[in-house]
Order: sequence, then C-alpha cells, then structure tokens
Amino acid sequence: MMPAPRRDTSPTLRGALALAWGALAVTVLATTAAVTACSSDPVLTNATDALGKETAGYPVGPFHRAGQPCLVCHQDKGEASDKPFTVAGTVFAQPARQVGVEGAEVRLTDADGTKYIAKTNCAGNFFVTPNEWSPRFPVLVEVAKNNSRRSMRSAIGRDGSCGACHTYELTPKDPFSTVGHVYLFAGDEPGSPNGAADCPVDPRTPLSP
Amino acid sequence: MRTHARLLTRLAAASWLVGLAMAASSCGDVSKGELARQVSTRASPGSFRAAGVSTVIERRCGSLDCHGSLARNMRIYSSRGLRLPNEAGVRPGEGDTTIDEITANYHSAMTIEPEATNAVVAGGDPNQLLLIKKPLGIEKHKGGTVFRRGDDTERCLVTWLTEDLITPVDSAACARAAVFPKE
Repeated sequence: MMPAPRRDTSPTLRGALALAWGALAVTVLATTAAVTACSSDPVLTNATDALGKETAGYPVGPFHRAGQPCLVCHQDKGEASDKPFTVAGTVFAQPARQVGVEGAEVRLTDADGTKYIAKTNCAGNFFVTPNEWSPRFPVLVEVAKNNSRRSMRSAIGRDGSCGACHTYELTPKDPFSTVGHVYLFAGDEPGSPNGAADCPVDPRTPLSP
Repeated sequence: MRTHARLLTRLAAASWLVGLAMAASSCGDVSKGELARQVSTRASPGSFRAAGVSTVIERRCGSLDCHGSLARNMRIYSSRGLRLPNEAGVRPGEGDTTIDEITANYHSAMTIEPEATNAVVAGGDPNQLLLIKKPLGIEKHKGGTVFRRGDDTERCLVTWLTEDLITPVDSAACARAAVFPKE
C-alpha cells in the first residue's frame, strides 16, 4: 500500500499561503467596493444630499418639501422612484415670502401641443405622474388663480422640476444663473396672507418670514 | 594679401546675389493685387446676430435647465436664461439679450470643437459638427432630439454654417424657428 503524500506544513509555507489568501480577500473587497461606487450616480447623490432631511411637521407626502426640485427623488433613479413625476413644483403667493397658494392652476403645453392642467394643494405643491401626462419637451407653462395669471417667458427645456431653476433660497446665491421661486401675486394672496387655514401643514416654508 | 582680399570681395558679392535671388523667388508666389489668405463667408458673427441665428439657439437650447447653465460646456446666454455677469444687475427674465451675450453665444457655438469648426468654415460639411449632430439625435444628447432634418431650426443653422454670397442664411427659417409653434 502506497503511503499518503505528506503535506508540507512548514511555518514558512503556511505564512505565504495566509498572505496570498489575505491579498485575494482584499482584492475581492476592493473590487466590490469599486463596482458599488461606480454604479451610483454621484451627481444625483449630491443633488439628493443637497435637499437635506425632512422638516419636522411636514411628513413625507404631497405637502412636503415645498419649493424644492421634486424630480431629484421622484424619477426612475431617485429615492422616490416608486412615485415618479413628469412635472412637479410649488406655486407661492409672492416673491418675498414662501406661502403656498391652494387651488392655483398650472397650465402646461408641450412641444406637440398637448395640454394638461394641474392644481396645487394647500402647500402650493402640484405634481403630474407619467400616467396622467408625459410631455414632449420643451413645455410652456403659466399659473393662474381667479383673475391672476403669470406666464413663464422661456420654455422648460427638459427638467420637470420647477425647483431646478427656481431656487429654494429667498436670495439666490448666483443671481445671473438662477431665478427666485415661482409666485403668482405681487403681494400676499388676497384673503389668506398665510395660506389655507385648514391645511394639514403650515403653508409657509421654514425659510419664509 | 591682395589675393585674399579679392577672394573675400567675390564671396561677399556672390552671397549678395544668392540672397537677392532667394528674396525674388519667395515674392514670386503672390500675384499682384491678390490676397495671400482665403476669406470665408461661412458662420460669420454678423449673420449670427443679424439673421437671428443667436435667437434660435437662445430659444431652442438656452433655457436654464439646458445650455443656459454654468454646468454646460456650450453655454448659451440670453434674456430668458443665463445672464452674462453684468454691473447693471440684469437677471434672467429681464430686458433683452445684450450684444455681449450674443458675442459670447457665438464663441460658444464656434469653440465647442475648434478644429472641426475650422474645417467647416474652410468649406467642409456642417453635418460633421456636434452643433448639428447632437440636436438631431445622431450623437448622444442629454436633451434628446431638438430638431429634425429639413425643419426651420436645422435649416437656419446649416445655412449659416454654409453661407456664401449666392446662398445667404435663411433668415425667414430662423424667424420661424425662434417661435415655438404652440406659443
């Protein structure tokens, strides 16, 4: 009977094998980390981080984050990809304060001439889902309530978020490349200077005076 | 000594003659009354402004969420979008597009790929330019297809890029392209 081949278990060989296994593990981990990092979109991640956390008193839902660029999250690759929007934003009453206007009509016309009218809720927010209307950009827009009406001079090129160009800050950091928030009246809304009284959230954003 | 002096004199005279001959031959390439360089009428800055090419690019490409953004390589300035920083404090949506902004737009359009643009100005095919290929959707474009072959916008840009004394820019097409059909 042939004797079984003897395994060399010298300390030197064991050390070398341990080193090789360690190197292999480090390589696998590094590759996994690199692949994971590359599969995320750093631009989208930065844009999402820039929105900050939810504000207390404004639960996640149709009344939250008024004035912010909705489609950063509400898109196929965003954090709210289960509720994607094609166009969404907020209509405020006046330029110097951020008080949402309830029941304002957002009248949209796309490049093919199809029209859609969205209505704002009591926080001033409106949103259009792909099932409701999927426009072909550019899109023209005007907002109206009662006898007040404002049309945007330029067309929306491709970003469905009003807040992508209309900044959330009351004083834009770069006045030459951004515009202030969307507003309908020159001053407070007649009859409801602080927004709808029965709104589940405060119609004034935390930034508003 | 005298022999050396004569030799030097002859050498000097010979070098003068050679020099004169070379000068004469180098000047002989240019005929009298002709310019030594070519002048192109294509993609001129004058037509860019006067025929309304800038207005078309402003309206079709220059909204704040597209090329009216500091994040774009080809930045487009306009009264309805990105403003060139100015001391008057004129902001997006105010006033008219300034001559400085039109000039900046011209530079944006011409320098997005300088060598290829030079080739077109020298007589090449304008359809090789990103300025045409991207909005047509032939080259990847984040803004998608902006115009189609033969429509007013494409005609405006291509006739500007190929303008000569016989075929000027189609300014009527530019005027139509500057207005959205549903406006």
